[in-house]
Amino acid sequence: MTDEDFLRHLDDYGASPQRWPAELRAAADAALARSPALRAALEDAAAFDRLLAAPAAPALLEMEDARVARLLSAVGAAARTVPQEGVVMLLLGRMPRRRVAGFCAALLALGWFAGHLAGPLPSAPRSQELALLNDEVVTLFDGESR
Amino acid sequence: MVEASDTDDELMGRVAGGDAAAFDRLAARHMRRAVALAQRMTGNPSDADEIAQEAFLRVWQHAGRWDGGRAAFTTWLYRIVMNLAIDRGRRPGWSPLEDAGDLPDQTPDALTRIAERQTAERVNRALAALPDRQRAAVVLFHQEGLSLRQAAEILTMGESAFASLLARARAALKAALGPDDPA
Repeated sequence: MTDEDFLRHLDDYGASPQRWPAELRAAADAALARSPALRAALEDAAAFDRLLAAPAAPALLEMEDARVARLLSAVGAAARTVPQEGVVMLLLGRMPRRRVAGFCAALLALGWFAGHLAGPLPSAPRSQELALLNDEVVTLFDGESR
Repeated sequence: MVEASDTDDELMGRVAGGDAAAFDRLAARHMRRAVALAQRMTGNPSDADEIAQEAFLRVWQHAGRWDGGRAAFTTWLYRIVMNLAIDRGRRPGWSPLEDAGDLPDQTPDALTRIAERQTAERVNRALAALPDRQRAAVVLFHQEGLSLRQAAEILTMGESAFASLLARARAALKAALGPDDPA
């Protein structure tokens, strides 16, 4: 790794070479070991990193216990009233959307194909059809005729 | 029976089966960090509280979707928090920064704190001006201290893509904050 490479990676990833992409770390350590100028550049970069990290610190340290307790109480209560996802959504939710769409289309195609294989529904003999129709009419007009 | 030593994976298995006590335990373990992450992204405590609550409600509702073989629970939780925070930032009229408020006194200690606060506000403004995912990259890598790989997983991108995102964010922040005046 040349000095220029090191400085470019320092700009890109910050002042902790152990947190750089794995393939760069060994070369970065070697570059640091041979060059005082790179070590000085690393110090400067560390100041910038501290600046980026600093605004976050109070959020964790100063968060009131009461605030956290209130949030825990709220989510605990919600969990006891809000239902969890159903089994079907659970199964489909694990799949990518495209796969779910394909699965639904395959189900439709399977139904259509099965319908064709089964052929038309068996029809009743004509006399029975008439009898059924007749029964229906009698039932429909039963109240009127009396 | 929920034990204090239960792992996140074990608790999530119970949560998926509808065990509210296991959910309480999991929430107690991770709530503080979820709120902190949301606050770092939004810069606003009330938004952070809402986001953390919504995130845990989603954990409860969709617990069955989580697959411990694919991602750690914290990766999944942080992903939910980050997505909610980014969505919130896209609302019209949303403002990431709270008012600074009145300064209490002018003693030397107070002046030091004022200077630190002003620096923090400057950095926060520069962060807030970044595109959502660049801000997320800085928050996850520099403020949460996650590795490139962990942060990339949370943002559902490859490690090298995340590294490029982080590099762009750092360059933008350096330009905004001035190269010779880190404090």
